[in-house]
Amino acid sequence: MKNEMYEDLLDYIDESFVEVAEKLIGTTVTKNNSLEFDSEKDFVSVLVELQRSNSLVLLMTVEMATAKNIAEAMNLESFESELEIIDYVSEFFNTFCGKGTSDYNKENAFCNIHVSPPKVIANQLAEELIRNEMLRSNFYTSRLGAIRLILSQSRK
Amino acid sequence: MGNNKTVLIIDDSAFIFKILKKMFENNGFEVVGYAESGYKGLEMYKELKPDLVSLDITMPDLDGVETLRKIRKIDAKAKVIILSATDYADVRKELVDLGVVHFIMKPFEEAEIISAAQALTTAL
Repeated sequence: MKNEMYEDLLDYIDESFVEVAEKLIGTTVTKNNSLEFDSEKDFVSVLVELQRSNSLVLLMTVEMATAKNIAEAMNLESFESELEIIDYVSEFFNTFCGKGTSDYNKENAFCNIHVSPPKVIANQLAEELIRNEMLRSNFYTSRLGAIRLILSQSRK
Repeated sequence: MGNNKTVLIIDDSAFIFKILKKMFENNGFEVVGYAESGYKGLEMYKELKPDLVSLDITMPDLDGVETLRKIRKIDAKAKVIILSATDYADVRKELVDLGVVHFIMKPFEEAEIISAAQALTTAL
């Protein structure tokens, strides 16, 4: 996949992220690339593989407190179980990645990118991907907390 | 509850199960089973013989297309609503070839789900 194509792809993911965040968690998200995450905090990192894209992956990282806020906004009730929180956040991620790649494929007839089911990855692996393989990332702020989306090569 | 149409939900997200269950039950359907994977869904389909299946596409072990293909071998007339975060042309063609009429994108509205469910089950 050429550089300009994955730049374009992340724009589609970005658009669907904003739309799905409004619908699913009732939240306006605003891109803010001046933000930085505190790597000492407890994170949740969810990844989807972009199949048929020459080994690209999308990663979403949020602090655990933000993950809990997202899950509670989807559920309209409070959560205690970390597993439930991760399930909800994964579904949120899956929904906007699925929509973004579908919209991208429709506009680019020669592309047929599919997303894999989302999986939670260890923070160490997320950090390695970000450090060594990252192509582009976007930070967002919202009333639920900060969210980071990363487009990366998969780890060889 | 005896006359209510029965529904099996196959989706790897507990979140989707929870909201679908509420939507179906609010509208007179009875959710008789939940499977978080395609293989489990197949087993439950054989056992429960539901009036309707709500089926996800992107699942870790057996995806929705393959699950539906196997359901069709058990019951060629199975009533299925596809609920998916993705809408890929090649997948949609496979689903249409497998007889799918109701394809709903996530995030969805209750009215879309119930309208499709009623359309599929009123003739039963």
